[in-house]
Amino acid sequence: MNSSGHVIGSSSHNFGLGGQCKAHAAFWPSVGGTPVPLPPDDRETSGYAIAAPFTNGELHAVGVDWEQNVAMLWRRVDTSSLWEPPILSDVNVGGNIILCGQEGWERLYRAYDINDHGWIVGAGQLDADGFFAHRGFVMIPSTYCTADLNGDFIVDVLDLLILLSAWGLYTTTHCFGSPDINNSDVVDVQDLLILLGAWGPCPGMGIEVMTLNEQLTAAGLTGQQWNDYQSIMTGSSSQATKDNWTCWIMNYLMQCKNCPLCPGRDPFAN
Amino acid sequence: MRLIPFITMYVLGPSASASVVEYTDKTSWHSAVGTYSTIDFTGHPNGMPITTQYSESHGITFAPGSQTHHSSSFTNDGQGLRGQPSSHFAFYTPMQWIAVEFTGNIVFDLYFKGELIYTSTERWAPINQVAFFGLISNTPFDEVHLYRATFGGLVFYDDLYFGVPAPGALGVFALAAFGCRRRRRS
Repeated sequence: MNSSGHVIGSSSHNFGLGGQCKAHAAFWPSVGGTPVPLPPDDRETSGYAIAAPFTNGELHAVGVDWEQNVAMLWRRVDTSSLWEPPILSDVNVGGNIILCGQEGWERLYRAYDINDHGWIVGAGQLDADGFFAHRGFVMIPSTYCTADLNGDFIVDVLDLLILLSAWGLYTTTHCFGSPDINNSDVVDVQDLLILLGAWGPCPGMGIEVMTLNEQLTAAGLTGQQWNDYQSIMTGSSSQATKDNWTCWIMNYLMQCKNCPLCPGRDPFAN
Repeated sequence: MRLIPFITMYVLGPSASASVVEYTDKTSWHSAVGTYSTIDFTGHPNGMPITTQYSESHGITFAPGSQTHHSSSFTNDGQGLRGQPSSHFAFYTPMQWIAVEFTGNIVFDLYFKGELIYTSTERWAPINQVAFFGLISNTPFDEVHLYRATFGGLVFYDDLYFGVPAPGALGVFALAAFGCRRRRRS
């Protein structure tokens, strides 16, 4: 049941499907209400969880089609529409989802839960170089703000610090939380620019967030100093220089000006 | 040389005390076996337990757990069999080939006189389609267990095909098996 009182589950209620009476995923608009069968009408299915991942009244429900042995995702656009046919039965249908952790998913067996951001957890089969292994998965809508590295639904200084602390790191992990936001295998200025461009609350989140300028002011930095930092990072300075600037800007953003952590002089000192 | 097209169609199963050839192509299996019996499970209400309904007509008895299932998943005729947690049946007279069309995934265990003689590969059907899975054994079996090894608890299949070599055809199958062995060594 979600926070609006919508219920998802299974019913052996005869939905008037030619006398058929089998376990079937069903939606209850309210506790004690009349169940509505989820399509396809004549399949043996179960619903496990329901959520409203957007602010437009859209409902998403997840579960399983026992006959096909695959995970399901049902969607209802608004209260006046019917539940649409399930769309999770093919991995990454339409490219609208991201499977975390590893590539090579062969089949998703179960979708166990979904949260109000549309994230789905489940189990599937992974083809790891010809060896099939059962693994859990997390599926995240690709519309989700990928610059939210710490998962608090805000792109802010905390995400910036995660990115800066991984500066120059080579990684092939392309998933939620990876500071390699643009999947280039290296954490670099391109990722920084994406993060800065996404600054603020994630879409659909009505959260107040300090602007970057407010954050800089709180850290004792000026806009010019921030621009200088970006110029250094995108310019031809040595790696040691870039590392020192990054170290110091992290200290400032963490409001820890006197922490003796950085190898060189403070480039922001007056 | 005429055996080569046949040989290229087969896959030897993963475990066996019987030598069994696995087929995922219906036409190839049908061509290889020639004659066979079919149960399509139509004519029963949805959810009816299947036990001895095919005993007289086909010489096969199902253990408790199998029931008819009406669903668009069964693209042949909309009616098939649902086994929970599996489907287990026995033949009055031993068989040598068997096949089903299934949804999801499926594994065959073949038994003879109570002894497991073969466990097949687990086969998967494309989503929202039925797939064919057939076996031809060089030794007889009299019991079959159909189940899902991965995320099991239920199994769904539709038309069930089975049979034995016609008298006189045994030599052909023996020759085919001989050809398979020679090719594997080469």
